[in-house]
Amino acid sequence: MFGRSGFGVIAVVLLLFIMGCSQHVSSPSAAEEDKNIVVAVTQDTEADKLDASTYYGSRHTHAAIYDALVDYKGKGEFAPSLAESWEISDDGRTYILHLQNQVMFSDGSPLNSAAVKFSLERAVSREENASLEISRLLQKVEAPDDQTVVLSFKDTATQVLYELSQARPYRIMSPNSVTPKGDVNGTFQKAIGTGAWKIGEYQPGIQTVLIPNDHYWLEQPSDYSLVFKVITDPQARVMALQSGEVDLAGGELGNIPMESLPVFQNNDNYVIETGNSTMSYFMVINQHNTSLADKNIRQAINYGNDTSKYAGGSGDPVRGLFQEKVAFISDSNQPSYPYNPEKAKQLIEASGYQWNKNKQLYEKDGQVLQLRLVIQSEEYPEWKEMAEIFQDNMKQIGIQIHIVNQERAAYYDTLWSTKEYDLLMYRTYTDAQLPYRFLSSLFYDSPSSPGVAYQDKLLSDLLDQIAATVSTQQQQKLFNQVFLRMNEEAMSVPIYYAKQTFVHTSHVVDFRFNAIEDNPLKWHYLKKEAK
Amino acid sequence: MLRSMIHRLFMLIVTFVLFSLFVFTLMRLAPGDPASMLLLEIGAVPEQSIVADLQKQWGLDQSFIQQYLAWAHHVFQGELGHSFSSGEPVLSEMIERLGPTSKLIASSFVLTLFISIPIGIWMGLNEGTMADRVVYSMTILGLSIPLYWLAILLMYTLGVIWPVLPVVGSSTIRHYILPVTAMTLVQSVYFIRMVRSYTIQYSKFSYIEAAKTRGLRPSIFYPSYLLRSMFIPILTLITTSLPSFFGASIITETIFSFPGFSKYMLEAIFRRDFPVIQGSALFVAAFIFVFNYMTDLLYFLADPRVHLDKQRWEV
Repeated sequence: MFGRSGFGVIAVVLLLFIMGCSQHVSSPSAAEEDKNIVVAVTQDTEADKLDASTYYGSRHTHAAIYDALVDYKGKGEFAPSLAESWEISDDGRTYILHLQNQVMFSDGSPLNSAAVKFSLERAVSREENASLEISRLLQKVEAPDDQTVVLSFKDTATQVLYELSQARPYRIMSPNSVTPKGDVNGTFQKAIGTGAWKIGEYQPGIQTVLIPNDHYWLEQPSDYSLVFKVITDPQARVMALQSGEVDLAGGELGNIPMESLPVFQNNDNYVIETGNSTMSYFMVINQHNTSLADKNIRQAINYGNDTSKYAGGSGDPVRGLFQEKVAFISDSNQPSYPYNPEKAKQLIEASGYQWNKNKQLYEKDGQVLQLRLVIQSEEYPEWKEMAEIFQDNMKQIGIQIHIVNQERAAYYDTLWSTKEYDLLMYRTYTDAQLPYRFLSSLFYDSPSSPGVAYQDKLLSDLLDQIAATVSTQQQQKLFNQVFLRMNEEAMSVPIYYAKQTFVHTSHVVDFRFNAIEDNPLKWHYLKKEAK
Repeated sequence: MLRSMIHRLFMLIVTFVLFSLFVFTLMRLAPGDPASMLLLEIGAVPEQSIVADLQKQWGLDQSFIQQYLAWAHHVFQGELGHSFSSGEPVLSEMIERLGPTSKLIASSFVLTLFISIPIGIWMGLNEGTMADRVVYSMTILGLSIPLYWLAILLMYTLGVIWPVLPVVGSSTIRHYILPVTAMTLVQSVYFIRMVRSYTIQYSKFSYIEAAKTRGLRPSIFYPSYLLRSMFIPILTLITTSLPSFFGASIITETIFSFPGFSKYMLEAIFRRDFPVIQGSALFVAAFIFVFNYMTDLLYFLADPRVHLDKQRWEV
């Protein structure tokens, strides 16, 4: 049909076509590369849609571009940021914020009360923010002068500072970011904030280059550009670090698998940085399961859970659901269950279960004490191993655990909708969302919206009281009761206190963790030393 | 011919409708709610009221039939809807991502053919020799290597141990070398075995034997006799293997962080982004249908005994 020459011509044309299709991008020079700090991330920054009032893009990019009115320092403490000071009325309905002077957005326009009013009203107008306290209760925002903002709420608002400090959606964006300028419902055009960085170049799905904001008000702008390079596969991130294509990876931005860490240990070319986290892993208990409706069994699971075995014993001792770094948690107000397998067995027997010597399990009415544990390993690969350790822990006290590893969407459907689990591995939220926001999302029970992780009227009443209490001392007393109640009823099974682990090449220096995980690193301190 | 084309077109529409209905049903049966997934993805809590609002906004509160008809109505108007997660039109997002994927698939496709057809023919003509046995054993080994593993191995060898190529990205031609190599190697082993088998089978036909006995020059014998007689089975092999190239591109794009169409489709499945899944599935199906149709035309051109309208050989 066609001869040799025809075949050859087709081949050459096809190859030329393919080569021609390939857009050649010139590689940056060595000098340019030395001015870039390349970070591996799993999620695209969506820089073209990075509206401060929305959830587009990643949290760390929001926090790098936009500043908050107040900064969360951990343990429930706040520090000034764009607001140099603030006053809260006794009834918790009025917040007066005094803005810093001489702060400019990255486009050179000034930060003033009009910009704050614009940002907050824009965030409140968005439907997806409706459940947040500011959006639910905000009555009006007033700007009596250029440096003062008054927030009036229709009821006592106790979570305002927590929500203002989050990476989104209440950070401050320039009114010039939208068209028409300053229109609360205007169309987003460009990310303009007061943060240390601004968007330089954006290649969707490939990388985003953040360049220093020359108008940065807090500290000297960085001399480097920050490149967030999208690498979705964990092993590819490891190899990108090894090949030198990225300088830094880890944390929630793009975790390095635990099993790959030995590659970088005892290697002079890399540094492993381990920082604090406020997140905990725990088991959600389905109290509608007949066995788990029995408090003895819930307590027995807690007594039989040897938490020192998780993550090769590398974690901090687990004392309760929350880490001690979390607000309102102290070393004494969060009682926990020490590992005591004998006590666990006594509790199970007290509930009428009998030991079956052949099966090495407890049973009642001929039914083995067995539970279905649902996990997912897409987002948290370490959960698979932790679930197996838990399974072994439970076997020691005569409870059989069936592990079901579900695909991410199916897993969340199980948690939030179908409830087809006996135990489900989950994690707490982080930073300023702890403990109140987390507890009210998962443990608050009302007739219209049943508690997701547990249903307990007394706990819900306490959470209601906290929401109406302005005094921190009073809130502390109420939280003490919350933690006591949760422990008494064994509402969950704490497993492990998470940590943040980053790996960077040794020529990257001045690595510093931030106080919050939403914005895990002080990016503008990072520097590169000559190789 | 015209009648046949109209018949084909009609069958294409029917197949499309059934296929889209199948994908639509499958997505609705799969566990996981798109509204909850979106909220979790962005770090928000999937509270019932917000989930319900989003479902209403996306029309997910309507009956299955209403949802399907609304979607089909849009499709007939040339719209594939808007992505739940980005809010952007699915069609424009797909077009944007088709570039890297088409380059990846086309490159590995062409290379696979250029590597496997000569090797397969050579092995077939030298059946049973030591060289044939060695290469055949290598293809068995190749068949048992998963693409994921091979990709990681290539990345480690040529990106880390001997750092001559970039391991992630798609900006330059150099970025394509490793992923194209991985895909080509995995696909080639299967092709080589098939072409070898065709060669053995066809070289035993009397007219091929006769041509060989006549002492025809290789430049005439191979293209005009052997290759020509094997054209239809090889074409069938190419057509049927196209979906596997799409499948391989999903794994390859994920490992090498390609911002391509296959990765886009996979992420949409994880997020339960229905408009993207439906639009992408429809596109892939359309591509394969069109490719198959063109193959049928080539069958006809290659061998006039093939009747398009009768779908059979007439000897």
